[in-house]
Amino acid sequence: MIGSLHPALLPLLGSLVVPFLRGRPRMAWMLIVPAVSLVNLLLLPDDYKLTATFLGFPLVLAEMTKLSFLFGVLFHIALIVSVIFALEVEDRFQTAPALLYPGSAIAAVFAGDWLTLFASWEVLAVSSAFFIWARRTERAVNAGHRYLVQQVISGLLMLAGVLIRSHDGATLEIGWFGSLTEELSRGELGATLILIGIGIKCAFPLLHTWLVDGYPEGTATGSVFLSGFTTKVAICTLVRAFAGSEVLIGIGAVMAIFPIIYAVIENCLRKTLAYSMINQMGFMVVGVGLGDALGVNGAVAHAFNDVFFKGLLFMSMGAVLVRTGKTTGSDLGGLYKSMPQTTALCIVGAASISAFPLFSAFVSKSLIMVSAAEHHETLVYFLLLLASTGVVKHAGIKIPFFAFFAHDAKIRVEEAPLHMRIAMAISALMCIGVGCAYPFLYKLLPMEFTYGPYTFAHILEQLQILFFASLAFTVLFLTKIYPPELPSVNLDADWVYRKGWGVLNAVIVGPLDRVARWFGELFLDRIPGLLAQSTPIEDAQKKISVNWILIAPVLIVMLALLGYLVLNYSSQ
Amino acid sequence: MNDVNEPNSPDEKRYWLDNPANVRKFIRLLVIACAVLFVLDLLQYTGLLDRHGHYGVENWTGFYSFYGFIGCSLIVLTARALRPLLMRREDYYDR
Repeated sequence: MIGSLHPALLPLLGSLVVPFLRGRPRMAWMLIVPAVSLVNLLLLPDDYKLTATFLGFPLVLAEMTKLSFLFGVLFHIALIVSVIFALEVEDRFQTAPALLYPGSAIAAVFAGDWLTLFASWEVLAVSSAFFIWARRTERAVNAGHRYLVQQVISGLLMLAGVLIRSHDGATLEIGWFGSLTEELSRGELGATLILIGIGIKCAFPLLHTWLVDGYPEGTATGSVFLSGFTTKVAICTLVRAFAGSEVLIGIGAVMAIFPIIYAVIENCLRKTLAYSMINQMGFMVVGVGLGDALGVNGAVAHAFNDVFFKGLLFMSMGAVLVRTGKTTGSDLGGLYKSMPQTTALCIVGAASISAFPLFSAFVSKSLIMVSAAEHHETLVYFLLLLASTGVVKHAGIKIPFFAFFAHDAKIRVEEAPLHMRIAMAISALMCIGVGCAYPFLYKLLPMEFTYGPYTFAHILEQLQILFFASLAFTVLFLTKIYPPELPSVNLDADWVYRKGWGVLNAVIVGPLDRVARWFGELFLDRIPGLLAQSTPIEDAQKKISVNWILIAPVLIVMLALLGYLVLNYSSQ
Repeated sequence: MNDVNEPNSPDEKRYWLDNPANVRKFIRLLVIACAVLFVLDLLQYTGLLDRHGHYGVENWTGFYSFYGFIGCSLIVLTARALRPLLMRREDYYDR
């Protein structure tokens, strides 16, 4: 039986049992299910395909390709690591989605048709929100709502696009490589809506706020789950639908640059990591947009590595949150004294994301860089190079420095729990393992290519970038030019829906309301008053203005209908 | 949060980085490493370093060193300049 099951079946079914288990049986169940599921995936034949029909639609529930296999294996390892990290969490709000959420991510990358993908996409959205709500603070609950609304909108836009396409006669098949690229370049509505839907999950600029708003509000262990799956499903889907779409190159370059600025002045270290995640996604989106073997392989390889180095950084900050109750740079510092192993593991994550030679990002980011240069995308190439120096600063140095070193905040706590350190150690091994034994990852990548990252020139150039960026940080920090960590929030696009209503109210709704009241008084108050030759009493005025609010919409609709009728008749 | 000891207790172990001389030593090492890396660029004139940058400017001596230093400084200075525009009180959205 094992070796023939749908790759997401065991985690999805297994998640149904989790809420009924506690303690050791739950821990064992949550580790055994993904482990058996991983074995099942590894034993599946190369041409595995599971089809079904739903309401007359032919569905491909799962299809084995190089791309789906790679992401499937990735999600299984990430699931196991995340479960180990969260092993002692008994809260059902977090244990219930712990298998469901990764399971739906696996289902999404194996889905062969848009309807199956849509279903997985929405389960992914809903199940992930629990990791934020589970923190149970008012802030987190609100952030969870905002997060979920945007995740669901992402799926609905995608569905709208799919329906428009199928209305125009397209099949429901997704394809495995840039299947909608041509439709997008013709500016077709269906493909554009699908791009925006995927773009929300990819954290395109201005659509990115759910990530920096939601992820830092998750529980210490929940954010580790969140960092591994949602955005990687998005990148996988982006490759399948839009590889080679030129518009992605520009979008990705913006994504790689703007979050760095925020990361420098952000005080919450998990929010810094969220910005850093958009920055890394920017590299991947550029790679997908370039669309050649190097670019797409680079994007996929970087997504693979990001799960482990970003997961490792989120885990180290989760461990800090568990032990100290905070993740704000202004309140932390000097933790290396009480959490030396967490510090060391965090530094491995920092070195990996900075693309230090022998660490994972060094072998994946360079694929995208080389591809950009080969496409003569000069501006994008040098922007990505700039972004690379920014990564060193905001993730490579800032995260470990302000949490574990910097000014000693005199917080003395215990080292992170053993299971958390084990989870971090596995991720750290993946980071170093991929960095050193890169051919294993290269062989799994979806497209044929040859590239050797370890040339003398490449190593030297990367080390120069890393060390001189570190030197710049040191100089700026010692001369106090570097902006200090301050308790604060920074305005971002989420201001529009979190505060913008107030401004909208003051600028548009308020004046409109005043005009409406004035008209109300004029027609229902003053004119009848004049006609009756009497002054209205104040009570009546109040009553009328309230009534007016009820009447106004009706009048507007009537006026609109009248206008429509007039226009209709006049045009005949 | 539960295990906060009395800060600066006399019996607390002094760590290597508590000594400012060691911090200075660390910074000096960083500067030396930078200098060595910069000088290694000169190997390209001996033929030991085979550079194949796609853009001519990448093959200039010290290009990556300068780009790393100036790029990082530029980002920090931009962020510093934008801070007055972007920064709000911590409870900005809660009010």
